Amino acid sequence: MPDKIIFEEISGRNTSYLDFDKKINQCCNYLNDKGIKQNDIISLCIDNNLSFLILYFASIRSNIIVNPLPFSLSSSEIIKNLDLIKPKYIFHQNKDLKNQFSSISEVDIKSTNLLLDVLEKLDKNKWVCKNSLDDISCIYHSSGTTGDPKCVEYSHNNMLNLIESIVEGFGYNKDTRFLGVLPLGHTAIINYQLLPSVFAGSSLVLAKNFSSIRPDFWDIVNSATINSVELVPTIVFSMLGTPYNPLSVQKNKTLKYVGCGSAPLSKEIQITFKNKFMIPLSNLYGLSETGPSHFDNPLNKNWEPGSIGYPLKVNKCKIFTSDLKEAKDGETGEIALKGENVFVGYFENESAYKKSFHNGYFLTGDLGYKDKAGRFFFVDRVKDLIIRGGVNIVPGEIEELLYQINGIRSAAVYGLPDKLFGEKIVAVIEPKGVLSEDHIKTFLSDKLQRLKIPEVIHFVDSMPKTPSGKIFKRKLKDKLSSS
Amino acid sequence: MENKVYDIVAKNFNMATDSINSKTGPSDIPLWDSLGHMTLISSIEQSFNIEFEFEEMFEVVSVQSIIDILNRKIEQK
Repeated sequence: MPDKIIFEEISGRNTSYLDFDKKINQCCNYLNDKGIKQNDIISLCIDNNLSFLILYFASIRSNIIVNPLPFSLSSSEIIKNLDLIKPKYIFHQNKDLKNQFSSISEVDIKSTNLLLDVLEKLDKNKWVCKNSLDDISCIYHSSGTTGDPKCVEYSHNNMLNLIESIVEGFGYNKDTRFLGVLPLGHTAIINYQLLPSVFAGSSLVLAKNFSSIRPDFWDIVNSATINSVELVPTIVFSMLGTPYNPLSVQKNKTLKYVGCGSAPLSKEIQITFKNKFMIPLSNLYGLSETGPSHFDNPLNKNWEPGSIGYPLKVNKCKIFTSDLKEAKDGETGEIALKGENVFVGYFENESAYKKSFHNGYFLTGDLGYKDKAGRFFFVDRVKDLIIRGGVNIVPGEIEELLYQINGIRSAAVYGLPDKLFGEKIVAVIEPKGVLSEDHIKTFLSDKLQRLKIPEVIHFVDSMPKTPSGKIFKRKLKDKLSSS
Repeated sequence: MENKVYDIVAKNFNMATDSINSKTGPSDIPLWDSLGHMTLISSIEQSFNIEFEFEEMFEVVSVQSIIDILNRKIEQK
């Protein structure tokens, strides 16, 4: 077992369990030497490589709170996120972040080899740290149930219970071979693949990203005997457009189904995927606040495409009507979860945390229903949120920036269905004077990652308002969609 | 046209233009993931005022393949 490979990077580096354990101990010393102590927070904004994995697990072992950030965030977005939690350190690879912080120390991880060289000189003996299961292990950024950005505090107890339940529910064991293609800064790969692979004593084959292996996806699945893959709808869509060699697809004997989460998945795509690749596509559901809560197992006889499946053992799921009564089978209401996987707080925002519960159940902000067979279905969101390519986008974040542009009287942002990304972003502008679409896009592109730049910009003479004077987005959406 | 493509790729992934060449692909640029791929295609379409067919979007595996598709589309015009 100690010699077993824990991580196989597609770039060619293999790391054994024994070697990884030593590197974690060395990294615990490294963090300690930097003055980072128990319950301090560190942020990681690093692409898919061994540096992230070592820093992540060393933080957990040292009882340091780790805050993973999506690698695709722009430097302005990173700075905004860090303003909320003020970590002691940020480890990153973004040259624009150099000397940007006055109270946060930063380390530019220029290359994994440089970090490994530094660690090599440090003590590799077992690092011991007293901690409690109730301590916070991770902080994740979330849109929250109301659409306002929040930071989710996830405890060691949450993490252990969740991962044990995932490993059991998905049937993972030491022989499972995971292929990880999603960015390590997202909870999807952390919860579905990274932590389960370590918990089960199995191996994770890690790609830089999906695009870099897209043409060779099935060859990698076959040669590396992969049996667990987790994707997002945008990747599934790109797979459907890629002209794979039919022989490579047919050769697959190990991968029995593919999981897809982070954004709503249409039944039509599930069916198309199965027809093209001859294995089903599972519809996975979860949130940053709870991790994956359900398992849609396509290998079950009564599998129903379109469903999100049954709750994992770690949590109970109820559907509440708008007056917070339990819904009947088939009746749509808000999905609510209760269990050891449910987060322990929003960072420095106790009132928002308390407001998110009813009778001990976390109100997810998602609408769904349960059928007579006990299967759950996701229907829509309660909250004002856009999910584009698996990334949660709070319209308020874009609106806030739009209001910084001279010449905008009012602005509203919403999502519309999009085949490629799930949703596209529409901005509606009520200008004060002459304003061009180019000017708006250029202004936003300095502050947001490209994915968040509105694709469609409408100019209107006036905005419809609710009786309380707020912009009536639904009316605006209906009016512009029909015109 | 090649230089314009290099500029678009560089801008899309927040890189210096001189670090881009015809062989550059997703394995050289961590931000060139599936979402980065789609935003790149969208930028190319807007800059050259063309539209990629569904299959063409996924023919793109490097900067050179973008140039090849653009050349083909210009010839067809």
